[in-house]
Amino acid sequence: MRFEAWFFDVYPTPGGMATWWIGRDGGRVRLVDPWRPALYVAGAPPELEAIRGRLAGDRRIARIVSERRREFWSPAPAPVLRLEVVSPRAWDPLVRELGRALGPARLFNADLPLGQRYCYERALFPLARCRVEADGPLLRAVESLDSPWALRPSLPPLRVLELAPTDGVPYRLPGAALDLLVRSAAGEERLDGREPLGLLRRLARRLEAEDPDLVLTDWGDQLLIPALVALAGAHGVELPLDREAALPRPRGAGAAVVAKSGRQAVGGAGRSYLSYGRVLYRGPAWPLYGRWHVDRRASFFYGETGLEGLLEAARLARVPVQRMARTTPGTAITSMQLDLVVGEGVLVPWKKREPEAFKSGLALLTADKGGLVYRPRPGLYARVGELDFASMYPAIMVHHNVSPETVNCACCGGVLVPEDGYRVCWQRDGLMRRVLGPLVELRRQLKHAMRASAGSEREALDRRQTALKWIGVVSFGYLGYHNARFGRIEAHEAITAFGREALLRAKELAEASGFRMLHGLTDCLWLERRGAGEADYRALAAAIGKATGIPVGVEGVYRWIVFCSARILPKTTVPNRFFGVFEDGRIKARGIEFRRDDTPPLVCAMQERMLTVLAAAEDLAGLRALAPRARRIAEAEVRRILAGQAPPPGLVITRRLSMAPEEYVKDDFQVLAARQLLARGLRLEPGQSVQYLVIDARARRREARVLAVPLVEDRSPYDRAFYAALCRQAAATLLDPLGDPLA
Amino acid sequence: MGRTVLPITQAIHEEVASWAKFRRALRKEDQEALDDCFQAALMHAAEGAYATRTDPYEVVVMAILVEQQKAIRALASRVAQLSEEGGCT
Repeated sequence: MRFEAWFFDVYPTPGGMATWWIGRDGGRVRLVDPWRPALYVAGAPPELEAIRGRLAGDRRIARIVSERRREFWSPAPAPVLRLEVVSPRAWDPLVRELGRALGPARLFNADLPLGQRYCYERALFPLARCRVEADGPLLRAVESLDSPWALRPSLPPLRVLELAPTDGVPYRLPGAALDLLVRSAAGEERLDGREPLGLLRRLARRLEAEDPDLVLTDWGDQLLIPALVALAGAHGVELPLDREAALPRPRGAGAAVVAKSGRQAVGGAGRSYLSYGRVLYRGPAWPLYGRWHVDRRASFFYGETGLEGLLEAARLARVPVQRMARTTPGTAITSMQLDLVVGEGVLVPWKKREPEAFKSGLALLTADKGGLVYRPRPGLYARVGELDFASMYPAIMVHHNVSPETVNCACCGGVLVPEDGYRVCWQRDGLMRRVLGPLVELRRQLKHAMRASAGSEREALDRRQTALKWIGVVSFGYLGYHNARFGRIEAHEAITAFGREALLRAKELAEASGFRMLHGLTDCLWLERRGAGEADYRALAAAIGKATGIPVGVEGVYRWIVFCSARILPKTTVPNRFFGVFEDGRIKARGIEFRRDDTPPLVCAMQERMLTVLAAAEDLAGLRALAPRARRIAEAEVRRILAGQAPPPGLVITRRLSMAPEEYVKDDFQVLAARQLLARGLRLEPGQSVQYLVIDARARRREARVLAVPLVEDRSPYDRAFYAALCRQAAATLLDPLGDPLA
Repeated sequence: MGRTVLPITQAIHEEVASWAKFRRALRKEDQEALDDCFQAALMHAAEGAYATRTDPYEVVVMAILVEQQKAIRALASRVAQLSEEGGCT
């Protein structure tokens, strides 16, 4: 049977890969593809013969072929054995055994996630429109009719069911009932957790009747799905969370199998990890079989770019949607690189073995310094233009051909990198240029299309271009990350050197045209020149773009902007703390209270209201004239707080734990809150957030200082002086530079 | 990303901290002047990082000189302006 369908999902199953399809007729179809993944073993020819002899009897290997292939880091092909594995389910144990017996350095294409690998080899990607040939339950042939680079792809309509805890709190005390909010096109309802049987039956009925493609949750991975699975097990209710009828048997040790359903979290329990100096927490993953489960509160791409951005990333990276939702842009860029490398028949080593080349102390000092981060002089400025290099680091990789394998290449003299003394190959196009070139181009097209659109269409385009922005940003970071598959620190350093050079060239060109540089931040410049308008800044941007080879845009001309002084040293500033208003009325603010995650919602809202009032000012005189109105907003809020009339939910503070509650020496508020929860049987892991209300900041009894959510109630008392001080501080950030301080 | 080199701002802070005893012994009005100097140094951290000097002390001193020279030039031009207006003899 032949039909047209969209490729929906893929995962290993006995006999091959289970693939799911959404037909043009709306049918949801499961087909098994008897696909055989292959891995490669490298070595001298006599060694390879010995290995071939030893593996000849292994029933997990269907075929052994001798070939000559090039591996990623070396220029010339070498002899290898290609081992075709009978089925994806035999893959993991076999690879582990071979890794132990031969050493990981001898194995190639051995540690690529199978779902992605399948997509590379079948030229598929999530929601690709395909022509499918099926023979009963088996997939016979598939041909993609689609390109992941399409500006306006045709996607199938997806059926969505949303699940959330009614109170929105990501954790729950043991034994507490879980009220559930269920929403879809068919309607919204609240299910009462005190009647678990009714809740389960109702949810099961909706899953059956609506048969959603996407189960979209708040806190599904760490809270909802495991709780629902356990509840269903305890009450003996069949909850059809999966579309797949016969569940694959759970594998892997360590993770607890929940209830009788045979389900468990994939990849074991959650874990805490360090990223850019912060401790983060990733909950256990609960993917579904035959449907997608996306936890929108635990998904980077969904959180930053919505469903459109998530799908864009999954399509470009050829990563199944449920995995893409649970990983970062680093996974996307790595997968795009792998797709290119695997597609060319080049072998991917298991573990990266590229050490940093030796550098003298002075070379290290030159190389390892990142972008140029100036400090603006604190104060008010009018009619300031902001110029941004568009996707600076990806653009540098494309323009200057910087890539892990092109820096200090062995094939040609190369082109000199500023400062570092490195050289970049000019004979071969690097991996980064080939991956990022089309990405930068698609982003340009999306932004162009945005200008001609409005409303939800414009928003969808914006989300997609933002997803591309993140992949670009991370593509640079990953070059300097020692665990990245294609990371190489010298390439990372060469890019920042080109970046500093570009920013300085921009400064020099601006100054030559009579502009003054107020501030410079890696890829942005804030400039002023008496009487200069949008057109002057555009002309300058074009000139800089031409001189540096990296496109520059005008972010906007500010009617006014304030660079905030540093709290401790008032004659200095920090690089990224400012607020201002563009000529079109857009507010741009960085680093001030309402942008911070640990500011209570009520304080955020107050500061944003004040800023909205100030945004009406056309110039500095108008700004000073409006200051008293903004001040009165703050004064009213402070009075309300001091009178005890502020609603406690608006005062709840959210903070991330960086250690386990008992490891802290200092009694910070978030620690006291986490210990309250621990005493009630709920353990939060490092990297998880805790929410609390400050009751009495200076209470002698430490336990009385804060109250953790969910113990906070609408009538809970709060520390009036503490919250009034928070409001005053947020108000002072805006008002002090205007010379109109709070009383 | 494991950093092998101190970020420049931290290096400047450490340089400033190494002057703590000197600062303590200064009279209050001199302390205030010294604090101004060190804040000026922090404002030029980016330029210091780009210049790649091995000793942060050099960056601190050069940044202070630049800020002083700027102050002198601003004052000189103000004096010249006032003299032209006849307000200053």
